[in-house]
Amino acid sequence: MDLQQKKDLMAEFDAILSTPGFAEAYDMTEDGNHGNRGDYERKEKFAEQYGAENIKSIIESV
Amino acid sequence: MSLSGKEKDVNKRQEEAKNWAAFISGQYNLMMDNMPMLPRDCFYLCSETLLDSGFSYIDDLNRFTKYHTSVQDPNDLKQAAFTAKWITYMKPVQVVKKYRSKVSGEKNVKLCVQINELLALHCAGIHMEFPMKIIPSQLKTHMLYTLKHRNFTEHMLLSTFTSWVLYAKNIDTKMGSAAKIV
Repeated sequence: MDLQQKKDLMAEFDAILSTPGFAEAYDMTEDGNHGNRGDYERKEKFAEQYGAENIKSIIESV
Repeated sequence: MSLSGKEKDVNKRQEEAKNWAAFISGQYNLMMDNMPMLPRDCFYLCSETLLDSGFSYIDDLNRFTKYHTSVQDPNDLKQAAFTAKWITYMKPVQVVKKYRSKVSGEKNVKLCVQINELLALHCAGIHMEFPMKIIPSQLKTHMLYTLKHRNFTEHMLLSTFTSWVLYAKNIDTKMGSAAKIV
């Protein structure tokens, strides 16, 4: 591939990426719920409310 | 004196591993509090192994997230899958020698034998903020067996947990937090 071909290819890629909706379609984040590195406080609140019930439910399956 | 970029990365990694380990430790205590049929002194949570698991969890999750997403923060399902993976791999809960003399009944012995898998599944559920009662008992039994005896990957766990959440959403669209994930 010569320099011009490479430039053309890059321009083609840029054009594809600038197509409305393209980047979003290939966004693998699925649902937009990225969390914030754990958010343990929120999860601990959930555990306080449902943790005991969850444990009971898991134990019953053993 | 300000920290270099590398030092900041090291500190961030340590903080994340410690936060994860603290979270798991809290969930371990909650689990043991809700398992009165098992004497507490039959087990201990090894802090060194737990922290070691935390580093593996953070590094593994970062690697996976970098490849699969364009953002830095992994969602709750990924956190659940990787948490279950590393608790099961590293087994931070240790069972003391001769525990059988303190535990009676076949089911309770089974609970002891699967204590790390129980913790893994419980912590995954909390990460997803997922009410476990929604899932049929057989599926939980199957998952515990898989964690204990089969080879599995984080991809498989992620796929399974996603299926659970989707299933739950189908049977109860007002379920709250789990419905929020999908």
